[in-house]
Amino acid sequence: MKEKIIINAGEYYASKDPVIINTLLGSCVAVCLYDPISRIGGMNHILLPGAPDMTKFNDPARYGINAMDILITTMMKLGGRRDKIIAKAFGGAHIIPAISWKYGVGHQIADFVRAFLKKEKIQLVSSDLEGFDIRKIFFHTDTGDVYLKRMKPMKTSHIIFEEKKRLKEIEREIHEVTDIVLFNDVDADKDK
Amino acid sequence: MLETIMVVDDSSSVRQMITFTLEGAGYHAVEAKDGQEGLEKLESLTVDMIITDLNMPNMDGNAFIKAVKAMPEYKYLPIIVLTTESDASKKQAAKEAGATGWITKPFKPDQLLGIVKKVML
Repeated sequence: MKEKIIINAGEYYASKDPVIINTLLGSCVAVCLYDPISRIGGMNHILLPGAPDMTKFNDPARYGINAMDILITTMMKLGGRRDKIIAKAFGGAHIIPAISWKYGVGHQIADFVRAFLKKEKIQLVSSDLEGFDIRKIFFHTDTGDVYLKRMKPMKTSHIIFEEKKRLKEIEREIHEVTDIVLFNDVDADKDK
Repeated sequence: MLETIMVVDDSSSVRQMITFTLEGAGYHAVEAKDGQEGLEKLESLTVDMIITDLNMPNMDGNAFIKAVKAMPEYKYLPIIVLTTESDASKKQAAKEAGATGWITKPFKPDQLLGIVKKVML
């Protein structure tokens, strides 16, 4: 039996041992990365604090790039190879019908993920993005297989509440102080 | 003349994001995708500072820092590590390799520029 790992918005998990990572997605997007040679897999669950601008690198873009970067780096540290990694992406639903899908969070995150993978030359081998349904996905890190279950939005309205709550936490995280050290200057991190 | 900063990271998005920040502040940036490409580029151009990631294919950050510091003309070159890592042993290893400073990702543009200004020769 493979161990089951649950991740929430803003989290990620990578493993070289066979595990099933699962997550529930509303407007968030989960990117499953897999290196078929080393059979190492990892997944994140991205929620962005606003519309990312990939040419001016605003806060949401920088937050999203970091979420992807940290997952790729973790897989490399486990023995995965960046140039072998392939991707599958899910989620990005339009769960607040009051606004147009184009301005919806789901569409913005899905767009970000597609743009990021293209920039990094990571092939998106399959995806199920946008639309209106809530998705639950199960990612097998040893095979790269993903099982997806769709649910109607009305049954899972708590997910909108959860995402809003998590978004507030992410907005706080963005303003946390970065860890900076100057090796020959003990006062460096005190005087900014 | 513009001060040139070499940006070494295996993620093209991260490189572009750092370059965007540096160029916005009036620096000239040169990018390399790993330590190996960084060393190759140093053969044909002169830089005033390096910002490097640690975990990269072909040649990682620490090996790159050591190789650069072994070059007589770059013995005193400021090198800042910019990485997702944050534990003390990794910082110690980078310091021993010859790094000038350390910033844990995600970086904030003004903090990065503050450090660049501070360590630039």
